[in-house]
Formats: sequence, structure tokens, C-alpha cells
Amino acid sequence: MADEGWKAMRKKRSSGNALTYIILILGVGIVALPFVWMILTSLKTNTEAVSVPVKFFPSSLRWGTYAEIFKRIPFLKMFSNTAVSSIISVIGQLVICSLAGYSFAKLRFPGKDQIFVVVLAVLMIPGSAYILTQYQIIQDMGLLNTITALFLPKCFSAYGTYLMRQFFIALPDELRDAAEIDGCSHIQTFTRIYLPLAKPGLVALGIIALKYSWNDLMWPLIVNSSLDKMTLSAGLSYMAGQYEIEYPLMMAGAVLAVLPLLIVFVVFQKQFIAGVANTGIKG
Amino acid sequence: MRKMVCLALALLLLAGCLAGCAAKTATESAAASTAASAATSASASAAKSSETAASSTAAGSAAASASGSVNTELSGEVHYSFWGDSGSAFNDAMVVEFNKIYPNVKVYIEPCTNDEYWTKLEAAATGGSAADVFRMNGPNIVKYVNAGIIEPLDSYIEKDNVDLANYPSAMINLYNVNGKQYGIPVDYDTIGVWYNKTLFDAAGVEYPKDGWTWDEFVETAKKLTKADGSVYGVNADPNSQCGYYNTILESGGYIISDDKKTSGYDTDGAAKGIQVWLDLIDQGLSPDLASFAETKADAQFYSGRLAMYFGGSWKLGYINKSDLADQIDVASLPSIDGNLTSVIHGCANVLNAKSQNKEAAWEWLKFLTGKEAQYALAESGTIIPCYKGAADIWVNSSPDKNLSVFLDEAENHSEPYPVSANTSAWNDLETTYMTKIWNREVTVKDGLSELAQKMNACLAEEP
Amino acid sequence: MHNMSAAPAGRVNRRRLQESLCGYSFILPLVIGIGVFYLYGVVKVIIDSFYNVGAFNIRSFAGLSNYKALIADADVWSALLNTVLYVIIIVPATVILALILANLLNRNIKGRPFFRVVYFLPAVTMSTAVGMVWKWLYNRDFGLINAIFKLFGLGPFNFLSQTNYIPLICISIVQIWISTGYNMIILLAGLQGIPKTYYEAASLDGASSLKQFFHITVPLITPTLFFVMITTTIGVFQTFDIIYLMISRISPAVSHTDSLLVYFYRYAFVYSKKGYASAIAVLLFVIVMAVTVIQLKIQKKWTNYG
Repeated sequence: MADEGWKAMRKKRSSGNALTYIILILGVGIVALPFVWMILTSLKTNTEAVSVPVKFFPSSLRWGTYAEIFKRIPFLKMFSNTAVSSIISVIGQLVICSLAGYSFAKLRFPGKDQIFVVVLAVLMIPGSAYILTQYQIIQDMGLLNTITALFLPKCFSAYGTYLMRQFFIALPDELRDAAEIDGCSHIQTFTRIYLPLAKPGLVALGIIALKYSWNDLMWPLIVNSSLDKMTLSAGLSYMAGQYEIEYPLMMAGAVLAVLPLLIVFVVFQKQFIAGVANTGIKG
Repeated sequence: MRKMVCLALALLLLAGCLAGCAAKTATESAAASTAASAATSASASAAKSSETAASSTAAGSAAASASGSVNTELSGEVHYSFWGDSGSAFNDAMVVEFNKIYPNVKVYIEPCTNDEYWTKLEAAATGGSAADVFRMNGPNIVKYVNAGIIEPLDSYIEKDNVDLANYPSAMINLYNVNGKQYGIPVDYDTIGVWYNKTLFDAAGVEYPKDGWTWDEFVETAKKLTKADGSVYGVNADPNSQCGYYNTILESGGYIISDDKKTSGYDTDGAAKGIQVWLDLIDQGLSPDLASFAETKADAQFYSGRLAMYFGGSWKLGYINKSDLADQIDVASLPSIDGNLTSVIHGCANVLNAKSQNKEAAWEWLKFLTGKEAQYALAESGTIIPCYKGAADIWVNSSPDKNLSVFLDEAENHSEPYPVSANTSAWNDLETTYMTKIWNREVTVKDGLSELAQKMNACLAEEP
Repeated sequence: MHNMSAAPAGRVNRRRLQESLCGYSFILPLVIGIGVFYLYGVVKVIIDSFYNVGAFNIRSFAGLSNYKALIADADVWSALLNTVLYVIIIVPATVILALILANLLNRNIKGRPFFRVVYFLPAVTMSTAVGMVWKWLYNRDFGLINAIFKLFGLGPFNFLSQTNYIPLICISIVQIWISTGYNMIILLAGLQGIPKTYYEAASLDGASSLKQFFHITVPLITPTLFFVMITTTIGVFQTFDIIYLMISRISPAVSHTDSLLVYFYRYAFVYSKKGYASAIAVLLFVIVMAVTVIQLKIQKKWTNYG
């Protein structure tokens, strides 16, 4: 009886599998189509890109467009700006949000819940509402048009705090109590016991923070004015926003810009998922 | 395996950052080569040798014979912000030239897109951190002067004997507010009809003639429009400077009264000047507004969908870079009721009243509007420089095109671009109401009378 | 044990004090950063909403006139309606699609990393590029989608330039395209926390996969589900780039696609009327907060922990 049951199950699973593959691959097609279009466009001439009737394939593959980007804008410098400011803001978030998240999760102090709600609420408001005031603050600090301006406001995140708090909540309180009895200071408890356990959560937060920082457009655009202090997104938007749009160039730039993030995700996939899985948001 | 990938990634990232930090910006190297070709021959040979400090004096004296003595006293930083059409490469080349005379002044070029320029400038100016020298246009000059952001240049002009007669008087007057000169104009522009010769040939239509009328223009558009929608005669999108300002003026209307107190939108001439565009769409000679909302008119022109295109003289650079470069020529605007009128506008460079380095900033401003830079600008074939004689060089930069129509309009058939103290306030109204009119949400008459009402309210609030 | 307070009261109090101090100092960097860069901004926006603020921050007191104008402004209400519609369309669609995909990906199939990477792609692409590509795809005259329809003799369809809600739906599709993959990965993580034994037991009992889905998966994944719902909702409120890039100012579709945030942007940066824009921002604050609070309350009520 058990054998028949297993056989039936395996049969159901394999036909279910075929359907699964079909749906997933269809999904891949829909998701990837715009990217395929992006890449094809990057290899066309500008006239081909906007021609009527639509040209699917370029008549010749113009890889030179990718080289052209480096001539038009200081691509490497912008890449370096984006990388440096993103990494610093990610590190900032990891430190600040894990500290704060731990505190909200494991330490007891008066007003904790109220402060948490305020923190959360304030930062869930769309960023563009703050842009002008943040600009003025940076201006008063004399930090306009610097790399520091790029990452400074981004080191603080509600999402990050929320994530780390959930993560620490999922870890047992007993560890803290045991450490207390052993005479550890709170800092030691944090750094020696909880933080090592938080690695997956930190990876998850790191990737999420990296994603937001890398592609952020409005802030870098308004706070930095020289081309060599801009980020990739601002630089590409500058290229697109000149009176005339050169689609192949834009698309090539976007393709180049997405590659680093993609590589990071490919490499850190498993940890990212493990981190998210353990953040207690799953219960 | 993962460790190797991580390591490789980290190294790649590091390499990228270092390369970014160490590399001269790409535009600098491009500028060096543009400088060599754009400058006079004396400076050209100097440019190649001006690497070491020793030869810089030699280069300095070579440049000295061309443009005055080398000044090593002036130092510090000068930031210059501008938008678009002349391009970063040109300005970078000008920095190289400038540094031959003032080797110790570090000039920072801050290019911007047209969309963001005014937002950023306003934000920066509010906190006193605008660039030392920046580009200014007619609609905004009074606003910035009234806010005390721009330095009057009269004393500088007098001290250095800058001869304002070298610039078109209309442009000088545009930047003269309350009797003081606030900017020196760098370029001017008028509007023409760019057309695609290949499409004309394919339809067997003659190229537009000088002095053609609006009716002849409509006939031409009819012959060029294809029934299957692959080619339209012309663009009839609601563009003020390139479109309806000119037709309103030609129809006997006006946009703003001379005393800047009343709107001219409720005149019959204005209604007529708007109606001609709607008629073009109704007759199927132009795509509708929705089409232009999705794809801008110039993109449609470059893709070969439009046979004719109302565009400014500044389009030359873009046209020459497009795939259709040598298939395009230009004609003057068609006249209405015997009137040929184009609005004329031009931009100027102005000095920041809060600049920390006004001496050097003034020299940079003077240099950019001086003969050498203006002639170089003419050769670059982008925008028409203001300096006397430079426009002719501009015309010859693309001899296959009939560029003199722009100069002819500027001299004989132009009206100043309409501005007031706070132009952007009613410019926004124009966009809103023209969109409604083009979308047929309101009639031309109702839409224009409401626009005139609101515009008058705006003008009443001005100082 | 009766007397738990056997430890000297002084030492306990000191420990409590120490813990409180530590608690405060740990959150200090965050609070300072937020205070300077965000809280100050909120306060300033609220203050500005009572003024008329023009160029160069030249301001005059306006009292409640901005709010009065806000209430009378038909465009504000249509922007609000648009925003609500975006949330109603995008959030359920994204969450349901992500859940289905995550479920499929959770099965025993090959090439899982490949699928994960491809689905993740839209979330990490620059919004400028995404906006441009999709604007192009949807283009009535030049677009790829209409070109494909043409092959079947259909169309051309006007996706982005109608004066009804079709453009809004089309933009929603773009946002769904962007967020589904990302949410799928988060839900996948959640699914991996559900022990396989539950499913095996259910299969042995003869339960169909659909039944298993509704009776095992959905109840156990509610925490992750709510997390995804809340973050996606907040993301929709913050959607700006896509709308602004795809709908030009002269498009017929403006009043049916502008979200409150886009409308705020136009007043703040294009028309330079920052006082009125601040009033719009305050309205946006109130709504985002209300929605977040409601969702958190629902989460408390419906989530199964364990």
C-alpha cells in the first residue's frame, strides 16, 4: 500500500514538474524580454532604435557603443563614486541598524516602543519629500558636491532597523540573560554573542541596502554637480537628459550599471536567502 | 570556489575604484584634441608642447602673442555651470586655452541637463553656493537679478574696455536690467524649418523656397504625408519658441505687451496663431499630441517619420551627429499674411554676486565671450555665437546647409523672445492650457481667454 | 520561592540604569542621524505648509490657505485616487504572483539559482533604464508590444496616452514586473522554513497540491506574507521614477496617472511652489502613516507565529 502511494506521488510530482517548468520558463521570458530589448537596442544605431516599423535586430552589432560611453562620461569615475558611496552607506547601515535593532529587540529601556514607532514612521515617508531639507543641511555643512554628501544621509534606514530588530527578536533571550549572569557588559553581549549569530541577517541587509543605494537617482542628481562626483545613475540620466536621447548609449550604460549588482547577488544568493529566512519574519 | 569569486570580485571592484580615481576624466583627453583643432595655429603648436613647466612659459609667450600676456598672479578656483548645447567637450577645450593665459586658475566645468539646471541652480543659489559663473537665459534674468544673485558687470566692462558693440544690441539689452548690464551674451538663436531632403526626393516635391507662405507650406506637407502613416509632413506639437510664438506674431497677435503688464493671448491674432497648428493635425499632416507625448518631435524627425521639423538654430550640432546628417537642410519659417517673424533669444554668462573669486571668475567670463572662444564656438558648429563675425563662420561650418536663413531672420525678421520678471510662472500656465487645447478639452477661444486671465493675474503680482 | 527580590535593590536598580543607558547609546547614532536628516525635514515641511514659499525661499505667511486650496484642488483628489488604485492593483498582484512563483521554485527542480537570478534582475536595474525601456515597449507608434500585436493583425493599441485608467494599469504592470521577483525570493526564504514533513504527510493522506497550498503553505507563511505586503505597499507609495519617466507633462494621461508623490514633485521642483507642495507632502505623510498602522494592526491579528 505504501509503495503504491509513493509511486502515485512520484508520478504526480513529475507531471506537476513539467507544468512547473513551463510556467517558470514563461515567467523568465516575460521578465527577461525587456532586458533582451535593452541589450539589442544597445547594439543598434540611434535611427534603428527608433525606426518605424520596429526593427528587432540590429543590422550589425555595434559593440563600439559600449566604448563610446567611456568617452562621453567619466564612467569609471562614476562607477568608483557609486561603489565607494554605496559600500560606505552599506557599512554605515550595518553598524548603525544592527546596533539600534539589537537595542530595540533585546535591551530594556523606557520609551523603547514609542521611539521605535517614531523611527519607523519618519523613515517610511518617501525620500523626495526630504530632499530639499537634506540638501540645505548638506549645504550648511559645506559638503555639497562631495562623495560624503552621497552616502551620509543613507547610513540611516528604517527598513534596516526593522529587519535587524526582527532578526534579533527571533534569537533567544536566554543568551542575553546567561551573558548577564556571566558578567558580560552589554557591549560584549552584543559583539561576542549576538552579532556572530546575525551574519545571515547582515548579509540580507547588506544586499538590500546596496540595491537601494546603487540605483538611487534623485539624491545624487541634486546634491552633486560635477560629472566626476556623480554616481552612475545620475551620470546616465545626464546622458539621457540632454536635448536629444541616444537610446543605444543609454541602454548600454544601463546594462553596464546592472552587472555589478547582479554579480554580487549571484555570489551571495544562498546567504541572502538564509538571512531573510532567519529574520523571524517567517515566524 | 566561492572564495575565489569573492576575491576576484573584490579585486575587480578595487581596480575599478583605482582606475576611476587615477584616470584623467575622458573628457579631458577629448578636450586636449579638440583644443588642438579649434584654436588658432599658434596655440595649436603650443598645446602640444605645454606639458612641463618649462615649456609652459614658451607656450605662454606663444599664446601671449595671440591673446595678451600670461598672468600667473590670478589663482584659485572658478566653477562654471551650464546646460546642454555647446557640450562639455567644447568647454573643456576652452579651459585648456584659458589656462594658457591664467595657468594658476583652476576652472571646474559643471554641465547639467536642461531639465535639472534651473532646479539645481535655484537650490544652490538659495544657499549661496551657486557656481562662480553660470549660464543664464532671458526668462530668468530678471528673477535672479531681483534676488540679488547676479553681480552687475558695468565696472568690470569699463575697467577692461570690453566693447559691447561687438554683440547684437538686442542681446545686450536682454541682459540689461534697470540700466545695469548683468551679463554678456554668448549665443543667439532663431527658428527655421529643417527638412529631410531624401523624403522630399522620394515624394517628388520641390525643396522649400525662400519667402514661402503658410499655404504653400501646408500644400508641401500634404504632398509629403503618406496615407499609411509612415511619414507625416511636419510636427505640430505645442512648442512655444519653435512653434506658436512665431505663428502668433505672424498673425498679428502678441504674447506679452511691451510694458509687461498684459497678456496678448486673448487677441484674435493669438487665436489664429494657435488654430493653424490644430488644423495641421486635423488635416492629418502631423501626428497628434499623444504621439508627441510618447516620442518627442525631434526623435520622430531623426527616425524619418517627419519630413519637416520646426526647430531652432541650435539643432545643428545634433543634426550633424545624427544618421541623417547630410540629408537635412533648412528653410526659413513660412510667412502668414505676408509676415515672416521668428522670436530671437540668446543666452549669456553671468557672474555670481556671492562668488569668492570674482577677479578670476570675471576673466573666465570675459574669455568665454571673447573673440577667440566665440570663433572656436562657431567652428564647432553647434550654437550661433554673438561676437561680430562669428556667425558667418558658423554658417560656413556646414556649407551644405542653407544656414544663412537663421542670420537673415535674426537681422530682418525677428522679435524678442517674450519674457517678464517672473516668466516661469506664466510659462507653466502656457504648458497647461496648450495641453488642454491640443487635447481638445477646451476650445481655442475658451482656453486662450482663461490663459490670458491667469497670465494677467501673474503679471499683476510682479514687481 | 517567595522572595525573588533577594538581590539587593540597589544593584538591580543600577543594572537597570546601566541597561537603559546602553539601550539609549546603542540607538543614539540612528536617532541623531534621523533627527538631523529626517525629523528636521518632516518638521520643516509641516511648517512650510503654512507659508507660501517661492524661489530662493522667499516666503510669506499663508495660514491655512494652502490647505484650503488643497481641498478645493481637483487634481489632488485625482492624484490621491490614482495612488489608491496603484496600491490596490499592484500589491495583491505582486504578492500573489510572487507566492505562486516561490511555491513553484520551492519544488524539486533543476536550475533554481538561474531562475532566482533572472527574476531578481528587474529589481536591481536602474529606474531610468526601466522607465525608458518600458516607455519604448508601450509606445503606440514605435513600440515592440504593438509590433508583436501587428504580426497577429491586431492593434496598434494606445497604452500610455489615453484619458482613462489604461495608462495607470500599464504602469502598474511595470511596477509588478519590477517587484515580483524580489518578493518571490523573500517568500521563497519563508517557504524554506516550512518543514517538508508537513507536505509529505498531507500527500500520504491524499491531499491535492492545491489543498496543501491553502491549508499548509498559506497559514504558515503569513508573517513573511505580511512583511512583503507592508514593504510593497510602502514601495508603491514611494513610486516616482517610473511614473515621471513614462508620462510626459503634455500627455493626455497625466491626471489619471500622477500619484500624490509625483504631484508633490511637480509643485516643489517644476512650479517652484514649495508651500503648496509641503501641504501635499503632509497629506502624503498622514496617508502613509495611516496605511502602515492599519497594516501593522492587521498583521498582529492575522499572523500565525509558530
